[in-house]
Amino acid sequence: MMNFQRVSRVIVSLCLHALSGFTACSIAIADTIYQDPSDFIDEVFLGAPPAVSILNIIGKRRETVSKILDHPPSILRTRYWMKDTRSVWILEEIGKSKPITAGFIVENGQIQDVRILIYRESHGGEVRHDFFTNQFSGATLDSDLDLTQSIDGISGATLSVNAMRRLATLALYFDKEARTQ
Amino acid sequence: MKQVKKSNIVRFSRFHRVIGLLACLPMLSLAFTGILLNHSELLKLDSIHITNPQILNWYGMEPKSEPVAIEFAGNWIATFENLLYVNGKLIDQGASSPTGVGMLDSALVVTTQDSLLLIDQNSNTIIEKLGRENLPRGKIRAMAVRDGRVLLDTITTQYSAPPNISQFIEDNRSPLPLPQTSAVPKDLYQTMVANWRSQGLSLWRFVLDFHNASVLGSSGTVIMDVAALCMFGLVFSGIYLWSQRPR
Repeated sequence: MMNFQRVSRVIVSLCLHALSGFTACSIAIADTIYQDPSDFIDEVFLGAPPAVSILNIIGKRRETVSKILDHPPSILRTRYWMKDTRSVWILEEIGKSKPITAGFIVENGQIQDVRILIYRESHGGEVRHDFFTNQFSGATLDSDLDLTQSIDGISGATLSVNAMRRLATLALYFDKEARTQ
Repeated sequence: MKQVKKSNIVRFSRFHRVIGLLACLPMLSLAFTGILLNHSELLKLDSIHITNPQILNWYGMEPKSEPVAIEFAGNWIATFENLLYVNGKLIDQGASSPTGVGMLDSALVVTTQDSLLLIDQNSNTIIEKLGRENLPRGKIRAMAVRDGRVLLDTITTQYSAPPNISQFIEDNRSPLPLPQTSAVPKDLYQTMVANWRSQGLSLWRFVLDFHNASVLGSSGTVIMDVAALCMFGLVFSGIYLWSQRPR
């Protein structure tokens, strides 16, 4: 028959042993470059990218971008590549504490492809996988500047997922603005 | 037989009490922090940063490196723990060491190893940031602005760009000298350290560390494991005691 007093004593001693402590270790994580942004541009335009264009983020546009990002943009202008019905945007947004660099291909006002190019956080990198990024394919913007497609989150990567949602919305907005300027 | 059954119930009750007591604090902490984390977006826990020096000291939030800085026309451009500061103001994150500073029109041009930033020197805000896709391939080793052109050297090749930095083309000139780096003034250093410390620990992180007991380091993991095992014990001993109650 099991001796419960003995079991209790073992559990207590385990806890006390655990409390005698170690110091936590930290691991330095370098940037993970999944694809060089230059290679992404070359890939999209088959080695012959168009000349880069500039979109100013000032005035009413700045207000809209602030609303999309839920904070003022850190830059006053951004660059993009546009050919016929396609535009490509390389955008950055803080996930948890470090920027995520992502590439967006917008075709006819819809997201065609999303690619995580550089990921700098220690957690949440699941957003780079196709099962997540494929959700954005075909997404457009509605009149409230929301994505027309629901994007499922990833447990443990909420902040990265939210950053990617904001960037996708931004890419679509920028595409619309770039075509009207 | 009845005597054996009674003594088992007494033993199980004692066991149930002991492990319940052992598990109660970790489980209460887990439940409370779990509720907070479940609503972290609503509570904006990731936007609130801990600034309490005692807590930051507890986390060992001491910088592991010294700033690398370039002084240019009275401006201090420094990177510190992957953060880029201009005159003590945080400008950019995920930055490598500065490799050059210049003036283009009225904007500061700053390069790190893999980016070029145009900075409004009055407000110290970024006008534009050029990443790898807009720069020549390879790490940037030096940059200068001369006669309105931006000169940029990688390890192997020299480039230049017009004032609008639309495109870098290869340049037949001798390489630029490497940038002269120096120590930042003490007051700027203290500002940067205070800023870095305040950026490093969000309330979300702090609550999560309580949730998984990693505030106690590796011991916390063991404590939570033991508490979880206690929960198993509580459930099974509870079921046994419930099954033995008089009908």
